[in-house]
Amino acid sequence: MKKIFLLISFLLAAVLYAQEDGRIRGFVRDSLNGEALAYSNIIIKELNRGTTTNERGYYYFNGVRVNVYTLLVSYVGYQTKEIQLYIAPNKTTQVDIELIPKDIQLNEIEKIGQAVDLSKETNISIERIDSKKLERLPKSVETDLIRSLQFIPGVKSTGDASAKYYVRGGSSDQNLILMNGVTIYNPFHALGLFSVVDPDMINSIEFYKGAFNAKFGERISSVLNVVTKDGNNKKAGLTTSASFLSGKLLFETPFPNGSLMINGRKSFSSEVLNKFYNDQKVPADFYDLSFKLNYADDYLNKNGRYFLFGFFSNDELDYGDPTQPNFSWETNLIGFEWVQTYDSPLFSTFRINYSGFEGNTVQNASSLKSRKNLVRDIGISGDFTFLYDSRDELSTGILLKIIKTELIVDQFQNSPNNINETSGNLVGYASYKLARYKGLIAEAGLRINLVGLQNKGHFFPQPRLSAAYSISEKLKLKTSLGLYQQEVAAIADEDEVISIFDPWIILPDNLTPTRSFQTVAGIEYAFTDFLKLDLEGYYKTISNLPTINDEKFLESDPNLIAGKGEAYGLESNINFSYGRIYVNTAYTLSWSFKEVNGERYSPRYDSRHALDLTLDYNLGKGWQFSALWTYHSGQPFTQLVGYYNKFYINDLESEWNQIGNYLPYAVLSGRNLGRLPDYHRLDLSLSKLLELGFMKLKIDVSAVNVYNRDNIFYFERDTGKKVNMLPFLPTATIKLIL
Amino acid sequence: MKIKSIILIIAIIFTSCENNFDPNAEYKETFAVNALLRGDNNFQTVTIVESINPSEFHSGNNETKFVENADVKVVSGDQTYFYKDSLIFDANNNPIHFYYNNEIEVNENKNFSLEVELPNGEKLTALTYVPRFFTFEGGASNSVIDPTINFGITVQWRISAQDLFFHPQLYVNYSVIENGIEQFRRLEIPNSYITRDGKMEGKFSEPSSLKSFSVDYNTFAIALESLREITPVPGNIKIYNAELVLKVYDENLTKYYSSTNVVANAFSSRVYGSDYSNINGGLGIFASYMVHSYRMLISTDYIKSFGYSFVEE
Repeated sequence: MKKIFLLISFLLAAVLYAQEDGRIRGFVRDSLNGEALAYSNIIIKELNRGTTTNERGYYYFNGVRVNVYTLLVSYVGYQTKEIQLYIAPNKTTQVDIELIPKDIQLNEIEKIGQAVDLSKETNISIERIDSKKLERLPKSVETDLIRSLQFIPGVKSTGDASAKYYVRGGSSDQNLILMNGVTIYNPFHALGLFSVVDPDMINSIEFYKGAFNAKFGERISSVLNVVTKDGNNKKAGLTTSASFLSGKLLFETPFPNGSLMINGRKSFSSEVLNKFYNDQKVPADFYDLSFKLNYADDYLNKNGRYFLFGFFSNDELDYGDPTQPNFSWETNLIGFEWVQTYDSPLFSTFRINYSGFEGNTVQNASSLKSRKNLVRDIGISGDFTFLYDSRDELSTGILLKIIKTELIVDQFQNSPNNINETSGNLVGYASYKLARYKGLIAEAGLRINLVGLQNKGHFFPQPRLSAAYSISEKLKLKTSLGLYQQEVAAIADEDEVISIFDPWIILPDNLTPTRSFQTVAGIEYAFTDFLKLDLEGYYKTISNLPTINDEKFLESDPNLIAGKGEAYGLESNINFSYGRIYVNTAYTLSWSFKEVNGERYSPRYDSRHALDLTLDYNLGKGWQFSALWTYHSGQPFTQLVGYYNKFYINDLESEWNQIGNYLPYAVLSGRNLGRLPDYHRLDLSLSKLLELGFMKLKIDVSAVNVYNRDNIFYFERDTGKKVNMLPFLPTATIKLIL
Repeated sequence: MKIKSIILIIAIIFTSCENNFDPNAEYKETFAVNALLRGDNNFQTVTIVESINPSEFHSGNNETKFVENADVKVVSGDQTYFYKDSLIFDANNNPIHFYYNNEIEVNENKNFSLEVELPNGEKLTALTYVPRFFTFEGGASNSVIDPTINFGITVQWRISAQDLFFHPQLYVNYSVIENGIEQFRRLEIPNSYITRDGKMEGKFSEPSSLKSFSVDYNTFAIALESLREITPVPGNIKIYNAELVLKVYDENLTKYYSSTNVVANAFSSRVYGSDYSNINGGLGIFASYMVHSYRMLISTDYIKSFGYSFVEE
């Protein structure tokens, strides 16, 4: 009967509406908790035409001929669903789809995070990670979003003791970190060891390594866009977990027309942190708290959804000793977002938000100078996406920001210096994606600062171009290029081994905004359904790179001077996924340089070769094993030429003090001319997921640096003593889901 | 068996990756000249030290290698001053080879040049300029120390040159009668006190670009109280006056001091420190500083409140 109905429908459609098109749209969500499934795949089987959901789980097909079709909806870790539907002429058919998670006890590994390329995106320099993949990414001590990025080709770190990351030769403050579209200025807890973004609250992540489209700006190197969970809209639930470092609690509950998620984390021991610093005492104490409330009521506004979210984190570093300085820093973020779909092929997002950062160094009786940094960032934005029948897409948007930065520092020998700036930024962008030709996706966009934060930042056009062409089902070529501008900077001293927090400022008017030209070209090749290669080469130049003036000896000397940067390299990612096994090989060959005061050198995060091998093996019955071997060739450091006993000015009262006060001082060679020994380490992890009636229990046991490799952190200049990074370190995490 | 072999091979690979690594570049002999010209004395000194090979240094030999038998001279206008070679011993009985001249008068607005010829024939040179026009701001500075007429002790000064560093030190000149003999001494007043391990410690001023010095009466009183520890009879202590001794660094000394006092935090071991030197061909410093003093009276009632004696006006 059903078949007859479909046949009649088909015939009617073919006869009556042969020349008219319809549209399909909807959301893809998890059937158990209603969370949006970002980047899931939807294919119209009969047309062999597909798309992926966006970060909200939203999808849209335009220009679909009137007919009966089968929608195939798939997502890693979920059962694929087939839905039959009839497309009416000149109508939008709303199809919201819920996918059922696969049984955890199935002896079958999920295809981790591997979204099928449905030729709707150029996919250049983008990593899309969902929460399930994040859980399986390599970790040390506990799962950490930003540390996990460091295993992506093109992303570098300076060692175990910092989660700061450097993308394609850019400095760490050139990475834009967004939570639900709102900028986070300091994303680190505990001296930069861990990120403030708790993985338990993440729904999905987009990470652009460069050459990103016109929608994104503000920073020149990379964009990390984190979308948090909406909260379970099916039933109330509680998840709690503990590691050697912190305890966490996640509460989710539905309410009429919406849901709520509240997530908190608090450190309870700093013992494990001491291991990161060669058993040096790290009295760190931190917490973070976030919430997200979403509401959708068709009576109030059809097809509209509202989100209210907040994020608050705080860190203290207090020795309880008046001769030691105290440090504290906090991030506060709150935002309201209105996501609207329309009967026309238009999708819009409006957002108003506040992001604040405050960092304090209290000198006490130490020799370190006091410092205070404030950032207040208020933004209002609107983004619109319009889909043409031809499958082309137009995206446009406008962003208004008011940013205040204040840095009060005893920067120059007891002379307080207040670097204070409040400024507005009005940005517009438009981007046109050409998707009408089979196998070809091309995008051209322009981002422009209508009003810059800085006087020299007005009206700087930032064109962005990208294209991808699928030569065959197996082979795809892709390329992109663009200009980028940044008007704020974190004042980080790149020669400090660890920086507790980096203060942000709007660039002073004596400097031109930092600008970068980037170009990327690459190929994707699928050897088989199980073995895929992604290869990208890039070239990047940076001008007006703000750099701390090492030769600031007088108060009138500028704090920052302009440098230059250049980076190029080749990145490859090969992944093999078959049955219970997932293997990923990420290799980067890269060069990066800075030039300051005419001296060209490699920054500390430059390493020629980087290789990360990941093995994930599903042992069945809830057991999961993973291994990660990380290697990078030696990073630059400045070599010693010798020592001399330097004359120190102490008390000049006595004439003999003028000739008797000496302390050893290092004579150094050119900056970063030497290379440290290669870094490598092996981490292993074994986890077991147990279903105990109404609750689930996950136990994870990990071992960091299994063969106890002595990876050099730095050399103490005074003693020549080698200071190593993390030794062999066993850790465990236990997680309870109610 | 196969698995065991593989594990063994991997273990050998990993354990064989020991770091046979030398963090040092090729050693190059370098010389540092330290020559400060002081404005309060004609006795001027110069030391010359030689650098140390890192391997030698790390094996424990970090003794200062003073260079002897160099020719050292300072030229100012048409005057040339030759330095003599000499030797003293420090508190640990280590020898300090130095050069001296006791005829150089350092005055404001004067240029000096230094020429050093090392025994190996190498020449090191440098220039310095003594800044001009310094004066204390009498109107903005205390002339009398008396908590009943002002809230704190402040001294201000001005100078035509920009950016220079100043090192102010406030002293109380006093005498104490010991064994029937009056001993003249001075007590340095700290900027503030901190409590460490239950004991109060003074925190003294450091060179900075601030053109004023101030201390509150509470700190001043704590410092004066400490004189009671010298003798059980407070009346044996006679307070004369207070004196701010101010050293004015020239531009080279300011830069040098600034570069030697870059302070990082406990976790911030800098791997690339800035090392300012104005010595052509080597390291070290050639600079000058002037010394000025500003005297203040201490009110007799205030001195009496501590039980000390005072000088009749």
